[in-house]
Parts: sequence; C-alpha cells; structure tokens
Amino acid sequence: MKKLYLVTGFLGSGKTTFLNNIINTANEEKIAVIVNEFGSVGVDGTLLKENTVEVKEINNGSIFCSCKSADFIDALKEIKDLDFKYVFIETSGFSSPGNMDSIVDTVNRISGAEYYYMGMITLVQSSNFYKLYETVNAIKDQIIGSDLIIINKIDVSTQEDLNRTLKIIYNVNPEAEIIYSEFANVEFEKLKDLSHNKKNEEISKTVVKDITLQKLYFELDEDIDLAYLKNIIKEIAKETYRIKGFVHNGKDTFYIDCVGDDLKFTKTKSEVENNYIIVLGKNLDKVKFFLKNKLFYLKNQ
Amino acid sequence: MTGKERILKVLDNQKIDRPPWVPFAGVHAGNLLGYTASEVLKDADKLFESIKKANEIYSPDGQPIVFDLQIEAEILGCELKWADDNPPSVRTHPLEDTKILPCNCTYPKKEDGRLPIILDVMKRAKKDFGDETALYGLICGPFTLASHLRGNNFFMDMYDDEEYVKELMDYVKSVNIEMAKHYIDVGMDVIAVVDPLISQISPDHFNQFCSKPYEEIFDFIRGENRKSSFFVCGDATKNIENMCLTKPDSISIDENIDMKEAKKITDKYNVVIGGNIPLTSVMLHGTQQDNMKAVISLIDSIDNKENFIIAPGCDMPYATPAENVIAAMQAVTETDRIREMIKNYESPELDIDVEIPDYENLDKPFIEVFTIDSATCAACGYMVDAVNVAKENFGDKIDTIEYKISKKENIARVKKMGVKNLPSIYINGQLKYSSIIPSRKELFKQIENLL
Repeated sequence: MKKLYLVTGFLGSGKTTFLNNIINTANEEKIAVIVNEFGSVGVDGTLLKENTVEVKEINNGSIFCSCKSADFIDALKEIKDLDFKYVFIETSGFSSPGNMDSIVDTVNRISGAEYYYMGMITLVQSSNFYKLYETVNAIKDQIIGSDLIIINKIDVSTQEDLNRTLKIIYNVNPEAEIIYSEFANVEFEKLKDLSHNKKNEEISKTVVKDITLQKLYFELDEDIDLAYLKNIIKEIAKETYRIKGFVHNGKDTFYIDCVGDDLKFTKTKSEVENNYIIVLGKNLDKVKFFLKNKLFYLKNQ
Repeated sequence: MTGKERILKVLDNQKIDRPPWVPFAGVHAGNLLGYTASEVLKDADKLFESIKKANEIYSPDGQPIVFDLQIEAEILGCELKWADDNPPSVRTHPLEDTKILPCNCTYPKKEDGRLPIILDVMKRAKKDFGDETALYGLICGPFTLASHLRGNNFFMDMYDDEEYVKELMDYVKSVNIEMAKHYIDVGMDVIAVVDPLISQISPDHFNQFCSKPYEEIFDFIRGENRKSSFFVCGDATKNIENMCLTKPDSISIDENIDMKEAKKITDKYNVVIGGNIPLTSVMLHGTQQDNMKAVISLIDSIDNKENFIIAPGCDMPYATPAENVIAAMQAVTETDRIREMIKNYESPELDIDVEIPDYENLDKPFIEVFTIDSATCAACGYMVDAVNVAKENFGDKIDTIEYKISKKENIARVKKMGVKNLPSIYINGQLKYSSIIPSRKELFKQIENLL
C-alpha cells in the first residue's frame, strides 16, 4: 500500500521548497514526489524539463517525477511498481482540488495500484492570502478540503496579515490542523500520520480550471543588464500573480522568482538555452504592452 | 458478425448484412434503472449499470458510453445547471468579458472534471461488452465548445474579430484532441465529435473557421487507427458537403435534414451517414408501431443501402419508453418481418386541438419560438435567448412565447402551423427564422417594422 498526499497552495507559497524538505528529512523512508509546475527548480537544482512524465531517482532513493503535460493519474500509474511508500502530488495553485477519494479509487481500479489517500496539505502565505482568497476561486476549495494548512513565510508576515488569514481559515475549515513555518521547514515525521476527514460536501467535487489565467512567455536579450531587468520586473510585479524565469549574465545563471513585491534572484547551476521570464496573472494586456516596449520578445507557447 | 464488426466494417465502407443500429442512450439509460440524469452523469457505478442495461435490452451494434456535451465546458470553468431528466446546461461563460486565449496548460487531463468517472466506466464497458459492441466516445465539437466559453459574444466575434475566432477555434481543437486521446487510451472504437451549433452558420463561415480545425481532429483520430463521426443537430443541410470535406468516417444527422437528400452528398464522398429517427414525435410520444414504421420508412427510402447507420436523430429523451426503442431495434434487425407486420398500420391522429391565434387582429407583435427544448438543445437555447433579449428591450410592446415539442400539445401546434424545422421563430404567424439564430440587430428591426 502506498500512502498518497496532495500538496496544494498558491504560487510562491513554498510548495517546491516544502517538497524538497520532505525529501531531505525522510531519512530511511522512500518517497515519491510528483510535481507539475513548469519552470519549477528541481530538488538538485536542475530545471524540470517539459517531458510528459520524467522520473528521477534522487538522494536516498526518493523518486522525483515531473509531469507538466501529462496527467498525474498517468504519473501515478507509471510509478506504481517502483519502490516507495509515500507519494506527494503537487498540484497547480489554480486547481480546485477534486474529490481525491474518487480519483484515487479510479487510479487503483484502472491500474491495479494500491494507493491510499492520506489527506491534503495546503501552503499559505499570509501576506497575500486574503487578497487571493477573494480573486482566485480555487483557493477557497483548497482551504476547505485541507487536512493540514501550513502558514509559511511566517518570518516575513505581519501579525495583522496572520490574524486575517487565521480568521478566514477558521471560518471555512475550523478542523484543519495549522502549522507555522519559515522556508516551509516542515519535517516528514509530522506528516506520516495525517488523517483525512471525508468532508467533501462543500468543495466542488471536480477539478476545474481557470482558463482566464494568462501565461506570457518573454525571451530576453542575451546580454540584458540585470539591474535593468530587476527594475522592470519591480514595475510590473503588482499587476501580476507571479513572475519566474532564468537569466545568464555572462558569468552566472540566476533563477528569477517574484511573488507580489517579493523579488528574488538566486544563483543556480541550471543551464538554460536563452534568457526568459514567464508572467502569470489576469488582465495582462497592459503588462504585455509594457514589456514588449522594453524589447522583451513575446513568444507563443 | 458481432455488432462491433458490423460498425467497423461499415465505417470502412465495406458491404455488410444489414444497416447497423446505434441507439443513443444517454441519460435515458439512467431512466431504465430509475436513476435521474444527474445521478447517472456523476456516479460511475450508476452510469455503468445503466449503459449495461441499455446494452442488454437494445442489442446495439454501437453504443455511446456517455452523452453529455458539457464535460469539457465544466472542466474549463463553465458553471453548469443540473436537471433530473436532461444533461446539464451551461450557465456561465468564462471568456464572456475577457477576450483571451487560454494557456495550453489548461487542456483537460485525466483527473479533471468528471473524466475520472467517465474513463472508469469506459474501461468497464470495454471489458464487459466491448468485444461485441462498438464503443463510442463523444466529445463536444469545437464550435459549440468555443461558444460555451465565450457565450453569445462568439457570434459577434465572427464578424468583429475573425482573428480571435480562428485562434480560439485552434485552442478548442487542441482541447478536443486531448479528449480524443483520453478516450482512445481506454479503448473507444469510434470518437464522435458532436457540434450542435454547426447548423447555425453559413457554409462560408464554416469554411473560414471550422474546416481546418475539424480536418485536424479527424486526421488525428485516423492517425490513431480509430474511427470518427461528425454529429450535427438542426438543419445543417447547407453544410453537409463541407462536413464531408473534413473527412470524418461518418456523419450523424437529425430529423431536420432529409436523409435521402443528404445521403446523395455523403455517398459522393464515401462518408457513412447515420440517423435520423425523430426523437420527440416518434420515439418519445409515438407508439411502438410508430417507431417500427419510422425505421422501415427510413430504410425503404434509401436506394443505395450501403454506407448507412440507423440511429435516433440525437440523444434520446430521458422518458423515451423502452419498448419504443426495442421496437425500432426490431425493425432494424428483422426488417422484412416487421414490415409485413405493420403494413396496414396507420398512426393515430393526435387528438389535441390547439387554438391558433388570430394573427390579423393582434394588439401587439407576437413572437413564437418553436423549440425541441431550450434547456438541452444548444441552438434552441440561443434562439430563445435572442427572443428574451428582444423582450427585455421592447418590454410590454411585444408578446413572446416558447413552445417546446417535448409537450404533446405543442407537437399538435407544430403540425397545425406547418413548422418544418426546429428551432424556428414565427412573428405574427409568419416564419421569419428557421434554424439560424437572428442577430440582435436583425430581430429588433423586424419588430420595429411592426410597431
């Protein structure tokens, strides 16, 4: 029997970091991780490729599986016979979680696997939570359906933001367990016995998409100036949900990650073919116009 | 010959022993076991039991697993309104106010929406009766899907922003291909692309916006070694030739199209044609003999008996009496015997008298909309919407009414007034719009001329 956990949470709430921590603190336990967010930096620092299902063995034998364009149902089928006892599935921050009991049933039936649904974990960042709660439908479903809510980035949250966040959570899901964390440093031991209450009446039972979410992909000049780039990103950051990308300055490659006004350039060992940023958000016409004027080349995906 | 062999052979343009029979038992299958439409569309066990029952009593050569054109729309964010005796209808349109192209990361995946349920049932059906019966996986056609997403504005876009329409059609085409992939993966033999709104557009618009996406979809299905079908509702006669040119293996039509005339076109292109037993007047409200007679007439009206499938015009109404469907099946499988049996049968006159308004002496302009059922037929829904918009605008200056033929007295009215196609709009007793939805401008002009 393999224990299955769903990990959800909005962009930048720390899902990937959380999953990294789980793998690093799993010790002897064998873990599989399924991620699907494009451009996520993988556990060992390399960029996830856009393959259908890519399975890698890492660290102590944990399995790291990326499936940007495939279904996680396919991924679960593909890895069912591999050697692991726990699997964590990272879902897109914009998905309403479906009825996982039914989905897991289907997977088991279709593939002869023996997955057991343990519960859903949602990561939350107080500083933007209450704003997003109003605008992104999926977030309410994520909170309602969660068994464990991790309020992350507590080191950069104000007491006011935190109180607002807790109030919203208690209102819709008073039974959820809540943990606070910095850098999503939750250890695996805490999750082993997560239990799942079948209380799905209020959340939509199916995974639906928000197709009004826009994803713009811009290629940047080979020799773009980093300071210039930083300024431009800062200018548009508030109009977007998230900005991610890679830029090489001749010497080092940097991973760009911006959530709201929290912009980070992190040195990485990844190799990229060209400099680019991806902008996620809604009503991005102005942003598009602005970036095109700054000689960012909008590419079709 | 198994039913499955019969279907695959006919779709390969081979000669077979008799026309195949494909009953479209969608939510109606749920009725066989006392399940509501919602129950059967949301519960894997109930859906499987229902279609298994339909398989047992209707002896289909081919059978759809589920008939619900809202599956994709739901996944892509359309809110649905559920009903007890109909598939759900789309209530909201995510791109109504936002003219964007969704990201290709939104293509439906196996875990989205109700796909887990449907794929599960498809697998079970494949195992249980998939060797004998050809299984049909139905997807919502690109044009109808695009209008689910964009709403009524989509029709305006075709004039105001052709570029956007092309791009949106390209997106929904890709959605369709993903859906086809999922269904092919679990063993569906025929992928049917169901696009009710095709009857609404001119051949020019079809060529401009639909030809390419459709060709790509059917090419894809062919590339996967499966068969394909193109289902339309309403009077799509003018588009039959264009539909053939997109190279589906078969086309399915409803009673609004003359089967004999349409087959002349499909035969030219070696496309198999299926249909077109009238759903409401015969299958729902008729007697068993009416159903036998309808099928025999259909078969006898066709000169060249090849490349031909017998099916209801579309998804059978929920309350269709099972014995009517069985009667139709018997007429297909034992044609000569049944023909002999009913040769002297005359259909009883509908004993309902309806009063036709005195159109010469009306106080105000009177708009009458004749529909199959605006809750379930997409074109009918838009037709009624167009009239509702007029009513909102003109208020008390006009009278409006909808007649659904799911009500028997409305069938009598349709007969009395000589209504040929549904949906239709009559103004002051005169046919103004048949099948094609009028634009707001046109309809308002018609009304203003009368005020």
